[in-house]
Amino acid sequence: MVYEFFEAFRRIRKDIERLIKELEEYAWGKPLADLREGYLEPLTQINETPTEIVISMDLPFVRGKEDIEVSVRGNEIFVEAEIDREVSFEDICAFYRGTSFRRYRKVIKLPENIDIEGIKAKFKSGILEIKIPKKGKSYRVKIE
Amino acid sequence: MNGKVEIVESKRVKKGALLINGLPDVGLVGSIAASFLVDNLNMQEIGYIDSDLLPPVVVFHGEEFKMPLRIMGDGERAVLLSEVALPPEFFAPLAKAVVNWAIENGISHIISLGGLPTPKRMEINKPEVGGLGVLKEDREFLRSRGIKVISDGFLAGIYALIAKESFRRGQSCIVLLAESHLNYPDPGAAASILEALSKLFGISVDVKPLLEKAEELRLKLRELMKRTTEALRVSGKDYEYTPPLMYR
Repeated sequence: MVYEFFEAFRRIRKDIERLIKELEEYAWGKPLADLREGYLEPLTQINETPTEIVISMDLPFVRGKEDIEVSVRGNEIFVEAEIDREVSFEDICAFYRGTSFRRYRKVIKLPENIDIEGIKAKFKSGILEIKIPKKGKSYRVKIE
Repeated sequence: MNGKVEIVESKRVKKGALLINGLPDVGLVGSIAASFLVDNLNMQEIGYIDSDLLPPVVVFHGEEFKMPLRIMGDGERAVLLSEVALPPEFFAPLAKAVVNWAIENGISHIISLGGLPTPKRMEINKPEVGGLGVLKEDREFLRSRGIKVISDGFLAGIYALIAKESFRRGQSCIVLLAESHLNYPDPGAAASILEALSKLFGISVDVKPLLEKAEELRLKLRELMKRTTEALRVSGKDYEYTPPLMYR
């Protein structure tokens, strides 16, 4: 009983923390970069079809697939990629003064009904495309 | 200003000049193409546009204070450039002000440069360009210069309103659209647009340096692309996926 109470309290606190984080990001916006960790967040597009989820990312200055790592941990997909040079924006934007970047990093939460082993990725023209099949059989419904 | 749009000119364009719009839209195609054109033709600032509907920002370039929405020009041509994503509530007053300015200044053609989102863009090496002409003469002109005229579909966003206002006022207006990424900056599409512009008006620019700088542009324009995507999301841009009714 006591355990359940604390577990429920912990979940509520976690949800509130997440909401506050989302609200802060909504109110202040968030740059596509982590200045403390020194990585860039790639522009990302997520599309869903009845059979799969397609994630694509724009990765300029990433030379080849060997410089990209895609992994699934729990219900999240992690993408890290190495930029082939040190990138700095300080000559065009004072906000980035004193920082430079060598990596892209992006973490995306996945839904539960996916087939992890069926995930495929390709990298072409500087764009990474990850196809995540959805789990479960589909049945054709007879139309009377 | 209460939602009004003010156009402040420091120099005039010649009668019969072109007005080229390079505003943030799909794949930032127009913004990239127009900026490259301004640099290549060594255009100078000839005015700016202001409104309290614009985001409360100014820009600094090389210590110099700049308005974010500027008109660049060289007498024969004026180019409208924006360094900020335009809020959808600004579209209608901006379109009216731009077309009015074009008519008052005797602009021969308004040309809007943009992208047409293409799901298979990753597989396309050289994006194709199609054009929309507001007036019959515009469409004939496009055809005569070998630019495919797009025949059916919706156009949404700021260029739709500029085209609508041009139609209402009988002003020549052409929209050039290159196959492009929806929400990734697309310098390849911008290069195709510049080639089409050259076919139409003989504005000759070498796009090789633009293509060589493509990765750098994709990297530097990420934040503007993100903000533009957010603005497009609420501006009815998804209408462009909708087949129109079949009557004429």
